Amino acid sequence: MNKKEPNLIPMINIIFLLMIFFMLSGVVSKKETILIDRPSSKNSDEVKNSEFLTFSVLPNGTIFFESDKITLKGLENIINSYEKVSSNKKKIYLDIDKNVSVRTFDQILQTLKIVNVNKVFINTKVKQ
Amino acid sequence: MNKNFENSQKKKINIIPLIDIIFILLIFFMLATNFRIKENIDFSLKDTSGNIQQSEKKTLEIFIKNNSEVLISKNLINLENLELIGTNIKKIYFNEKFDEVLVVCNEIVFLQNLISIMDIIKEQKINNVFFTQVKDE
Repeated sequence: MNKKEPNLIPMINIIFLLMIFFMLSGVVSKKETILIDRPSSKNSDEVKNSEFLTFSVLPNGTIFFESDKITLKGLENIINSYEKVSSNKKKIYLDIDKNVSVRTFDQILQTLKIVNVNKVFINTKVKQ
Repeated sequence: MNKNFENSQKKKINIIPLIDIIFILLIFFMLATNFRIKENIDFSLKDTSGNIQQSEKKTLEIFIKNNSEVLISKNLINLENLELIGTNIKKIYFNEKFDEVLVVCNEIVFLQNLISIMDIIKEQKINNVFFTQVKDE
């Protein structure tokens, strides 16, 4: 009556290895609530640093920070407040739609310049 | 003999709940992780307006009139013809020994068009590229 049970240890080992693989190689990402059609570029580089502030810009020029709608003044205040809290400067990333006008883009850059941002990174479409 | 058998039976740990939890964790990581690498381009925001006036750098101006046409030293080229734009810029820039390129952009132009033009310029191994915008007339 005493049936020989299958040995489950190798299966557990494999599942553990798979889990460790997914934990180490992937990034747990937030669900994107704002849909942005990013511009494409042949000269884009991979993102290495994870310490950054990301602002989203819709084609009509609306700016979002962590799914909250903000104005240009709000953008200025957010960067200023981050500078006070953190000692090291954060990188500014723009998740900007490809159909945003140059006028809006320039307004954002001018605002960033006021708060002493020297460089801004534009997220682009991933190369296929 | 009988007692020994009972003892060995009691010591066995039930590993089925452990497997369940590991499976749930595995499914979570499989669904939540993202393998896509983000890519970006960077823009420097240095104020060069003062320097441009002081220095006598020879600047090639490229005017993106609207979302379909580019003006490169009196040549009006369709924006879709990126290769022709590239060869024109390269020819003028190196023949006439310009120091930098200024992309003048109408405010109504889409960001994608500006990035495409800047890409083409960079492909010609020209590194001093600036952009400015002008109001729509």
